[in-house]
Amino acid sequence: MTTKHTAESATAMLALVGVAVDPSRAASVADTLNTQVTGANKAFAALTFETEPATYLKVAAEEAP
Amino acid sequence: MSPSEILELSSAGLARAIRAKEVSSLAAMEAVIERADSVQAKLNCFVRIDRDEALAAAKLADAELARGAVRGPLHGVPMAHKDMYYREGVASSCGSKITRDRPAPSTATALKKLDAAGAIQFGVLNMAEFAYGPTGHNYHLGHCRNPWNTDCITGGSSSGSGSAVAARASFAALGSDTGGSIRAPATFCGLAGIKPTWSRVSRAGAMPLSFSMDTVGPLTRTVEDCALIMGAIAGADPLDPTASQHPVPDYMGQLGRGVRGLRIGTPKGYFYDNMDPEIEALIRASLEVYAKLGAEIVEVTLPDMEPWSYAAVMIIAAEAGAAHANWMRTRPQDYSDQVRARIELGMSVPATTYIESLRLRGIALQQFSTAVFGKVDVLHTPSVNFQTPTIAETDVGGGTTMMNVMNTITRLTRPGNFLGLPVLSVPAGFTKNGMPTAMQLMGRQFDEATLFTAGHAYQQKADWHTRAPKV
Repeated sequence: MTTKHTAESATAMLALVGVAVDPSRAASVADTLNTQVTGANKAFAALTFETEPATYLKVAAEEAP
Repeated sequence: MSPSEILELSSAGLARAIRAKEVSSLAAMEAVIERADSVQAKLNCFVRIDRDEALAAAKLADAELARGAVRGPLHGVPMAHKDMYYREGVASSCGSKITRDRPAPSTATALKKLDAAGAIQFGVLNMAEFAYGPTGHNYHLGHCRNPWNTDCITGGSSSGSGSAVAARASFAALGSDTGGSIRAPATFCGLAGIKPTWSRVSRAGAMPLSFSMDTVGPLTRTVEDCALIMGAIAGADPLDPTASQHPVPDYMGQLGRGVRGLRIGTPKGYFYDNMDPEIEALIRASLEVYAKLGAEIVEVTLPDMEPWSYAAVMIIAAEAGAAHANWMRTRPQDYSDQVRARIELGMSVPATTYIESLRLRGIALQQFSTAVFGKVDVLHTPSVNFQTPTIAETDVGGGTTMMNVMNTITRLTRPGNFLGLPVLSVPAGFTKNGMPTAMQLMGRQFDEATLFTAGHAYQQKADWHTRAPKV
């Protein structure tokens, strides 16, 4: 079972980093977050434990294979 | 040469005419400023025009030329740029309320390189607030308007760059591209525009949005102009540790190589999903031009790019959220609803999701490179899959449909940023309602030269780029 963000939980999370969410937008933030994170999660099965986040930047910054 | 004849010149054409003393820099500056003044009320593409300084600089350029001194390949060419490239002591609005009174501590490297090449900046251009919007709406400066139809969006975030260059109110302009912000306005306004390889052009002194996706590049009338300007601005920079040391090729020298034998890929899936039939016909027709020019057209099966598209949204959102965190705590009321909502989203992305998205990029680049560049030299795609919408249709504020609209507009441009690859947008025709559309040419890392060659070859056969809007 997947637990999703609600307007209340999104508001609480942003409060934690010092940002006050406009109550009229809290549901939208939660909905977008749920959709986008869920969408991205599907790709992460391709990742292995050893995959380094810096690899892309190093390759892109200098020599391409 | 009359002012209207001068305004029809490309940047490269004007630079040649100035060097040949067929036209003075002052005459070009006077013509372009007059044009800028005349279109501003309709297009709202300028934030500021620095008339006196620009005219004085043009006179100086002419005096230098008279005694045989040429600063560089853009000597005396007037340009205005997206209002996010800092010039020491001058405030850049960045399309916002927040930075518009804050003088910059130093000048952007891209501007310094254009200055050294002889270009003369005469103003700054409208843009999406903090470069975070693909339509051209701006709730602080007023929406920028498309010269082909002022009811339509310009595309963004480099909205003023697209509008002004298309309207012949600037010979070229810098934009920036994090998810499509050069290519969208280039597409909707009928211009060439390049999102270079990530790290190809220094970002020192350019407003940051998403550090691992941001790129700097020009919007121009022709592909030749893109090559000329990229030759001036690309390269290493001690002020930007992420700027690549990779040598900058002679783009102009390679422009005329032609495409005979070049392998051009056409993708199955993703780029043609939910495609407008009229746009598809124009894009397919541009591929036919390449076939007639002797290129080998190869169908390419792409990896599943859908999840990459989501991951790209997560990266841009999280990095923008971090960049804006302090102002979101102290000045949230100074953001428009839309940008504030997008940054709220970014500040809510789980850290693990952001890092997983970054980790995915190496794998995605490898998969994409194998699938595409294992078979072809260039991937040919549409830039958008829909007809140019109106400003009213896309005026979605910060509400619930906002992210869907934003993501739909950048669906075909975002992968280039995620993968860090160079992508050139080239005008590919007009829909029946008179609006331009474009193809994208995507290349290997640091292989902008092949894209310019391919784009230039197309423009020798197709004349879309020579058409000017009536404003």
